[in-house]
Amino acid sequence: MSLPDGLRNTSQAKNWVDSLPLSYKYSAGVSGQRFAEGLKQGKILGSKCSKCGETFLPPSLYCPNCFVYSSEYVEIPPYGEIYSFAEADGKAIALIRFQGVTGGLIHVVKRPSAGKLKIGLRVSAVFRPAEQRKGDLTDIEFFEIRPHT
Amino acid sequence: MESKKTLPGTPITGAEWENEVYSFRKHSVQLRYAWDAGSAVSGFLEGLKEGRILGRRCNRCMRVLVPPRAFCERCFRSTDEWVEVKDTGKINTYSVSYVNNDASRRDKPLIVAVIEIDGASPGMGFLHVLGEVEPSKVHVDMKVKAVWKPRDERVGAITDIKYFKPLEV
Amino acid sequence: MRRVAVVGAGMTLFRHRMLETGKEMAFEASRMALDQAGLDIKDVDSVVLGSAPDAFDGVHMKGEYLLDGAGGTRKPYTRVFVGGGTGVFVPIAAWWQVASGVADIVLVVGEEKMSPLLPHPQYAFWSIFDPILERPLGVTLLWIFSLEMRRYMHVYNVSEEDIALVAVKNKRNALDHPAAQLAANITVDDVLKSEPICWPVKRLDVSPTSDGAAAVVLASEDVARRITDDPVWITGVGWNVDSTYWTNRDLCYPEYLEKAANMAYRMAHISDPKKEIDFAEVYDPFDYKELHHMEGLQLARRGEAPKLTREGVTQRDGDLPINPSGGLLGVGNPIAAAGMMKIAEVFWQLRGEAGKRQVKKPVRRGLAQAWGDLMQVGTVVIMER
Repeated sequence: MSLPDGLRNTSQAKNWVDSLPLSYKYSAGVSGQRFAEGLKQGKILGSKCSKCGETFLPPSLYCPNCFVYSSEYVEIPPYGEIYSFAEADGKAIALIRFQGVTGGLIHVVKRPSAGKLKIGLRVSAVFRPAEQRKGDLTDIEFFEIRPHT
Repeated sequence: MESKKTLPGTPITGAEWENEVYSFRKHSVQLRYAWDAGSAVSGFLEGLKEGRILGRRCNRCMRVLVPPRAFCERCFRSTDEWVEVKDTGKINTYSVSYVNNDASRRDKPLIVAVIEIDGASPGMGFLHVLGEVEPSKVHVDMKVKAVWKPRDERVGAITDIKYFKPLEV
Repeated sequence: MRRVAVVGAGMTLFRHRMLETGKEMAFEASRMALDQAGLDIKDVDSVVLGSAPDAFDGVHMKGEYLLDGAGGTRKPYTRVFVGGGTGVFVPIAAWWQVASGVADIVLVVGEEKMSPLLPHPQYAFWSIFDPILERPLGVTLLWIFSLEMRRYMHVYNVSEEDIALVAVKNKRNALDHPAAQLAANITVDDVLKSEPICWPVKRLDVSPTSDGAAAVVLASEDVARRITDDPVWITGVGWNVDSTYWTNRDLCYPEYLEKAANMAYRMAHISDPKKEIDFAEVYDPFDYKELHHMEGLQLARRGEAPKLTREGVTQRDGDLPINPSGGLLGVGNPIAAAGMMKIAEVFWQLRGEAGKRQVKKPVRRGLAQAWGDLMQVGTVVIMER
């Protein structure tokens, strides 16, 4: 559209500069709270659907497929497999999947002293000492490559 | 529903929230914007810089639109010409604000009003604040006049008008 | 057009802050609605979700974020938004699908998680205003409500006492609602003496900010007849939106709502709403809004709603009960969920399932309404047994 005649050139176009600073405080949720408490105890907790029996990580209050309440929280052994990874700023970030579990965790993988990271390598969670844990994912310091894989 | 004694949900009390008895995550974002005023409102702001209030006329419905727009939203056609209206008007409605936009209390209450601008079509006006008047003295239909910032402080913004004050007769 | 029935409803508690995430609240309400209808998620053809501005929880794809909690995974799924009018617009968007034959069963979900925003959820509303002409003045949502309230009081000579009667009634009605956040026995004097926030709006004139969710299930006639003996029919829907130039219209009367209501009345073959609507859940984020909306809905003549309220007509045992649920003022205001709470209340009232909240007179036809954005949106649903 052409400019209205009162505005003869675009140098008269105006704008207003301002900011929208937003701060948030999120509750972890019912299942998130259980997950956080598990991490504090050095456990990785998933949830199991009461209908199809599928196990989800992170845990969920409900099964997204059957849309019914989860029946229980189950401890998932801290041994997983690199599903995919990315390397940036000298750090390796991987999506780690666990056997028989839908979902997984995104976390830091400690580079092996010899050889390269590969999809399919088996990894295990290294938890921080109990007194340093805060109830979030950083309670796992990193995943490391399990020997003999 | 009545058979269900309790509905689902886990309330968090104020103390639980403050003392963080549950797991919480905090996050902040600072979004900065430069909002374009567009063709019509840029002309309006240029007028404010000159100490004038401008509207746009739609030659089909003959309304003088304040704030001005590039198109008439009722006739759905481009507006036709600029019209200089007055910097006086009357109070359509007003209120006294004790809070800021984050719900915190203000140090001093602020009187806010919708001003119907003289020379615009009936009922046409914009939002602004009132000054030089006590809240108890304000009334609907009160005549008011714009108090402008000094020329060298005007930048082409709605705040080039400091406030509206009662028009002394 | 096919007939459309409501066959189940559910909701969570409404509270200032909840542990549940938005997804979890959406699930709880949806599961309860499906259970009442005796349905499984695999029976659901399509899901429609409503939620208010993204700024409350800072997830700027809130529809997609909430999807699995609303049962929408791998289904035709839509999020709709018309500000505060959203709660009553979600069932309208779902109605389109069933009436047109696109879907037989639609899950309808309203969700709101307002508590995460610091220092106060109120701040999110700053982002709805015109950035050039209004935000530089420091505008708040409370300004526009109080400006509208003041204009309404001026034009129809309405007193603050008359308006306070609405807050007293609704907070008392809410004592019987199991989800209620701000149920109370208060007096007109309590309202008048409560702290001024943005005069004439005082603390007790306003609904709270809330977390919560509510859901209903819509079904086509053949499905409804199969799964329930007691369907409630949606017989009229209407919606209308005016421009954002709210300073250019007379705020004393919501014309856009009149248009939305007339659209719904035409569809439901209603010519005299005051006589033909048995009770209504009208949008009451502020007490004066109930009066304003009764007039826009033509359940009262212009300026007449305060008189009807004074005379007790709008009480649960009155001739035209308004907000028997306790409304937003009493039950709470998780925006899109609050509108859906009204839909659920009309459903429960028409089925005689409202327990202590059940209105005294027999009811056959009820109305739910919501309103929002910059005083520009009207959404209306009429239901019949």
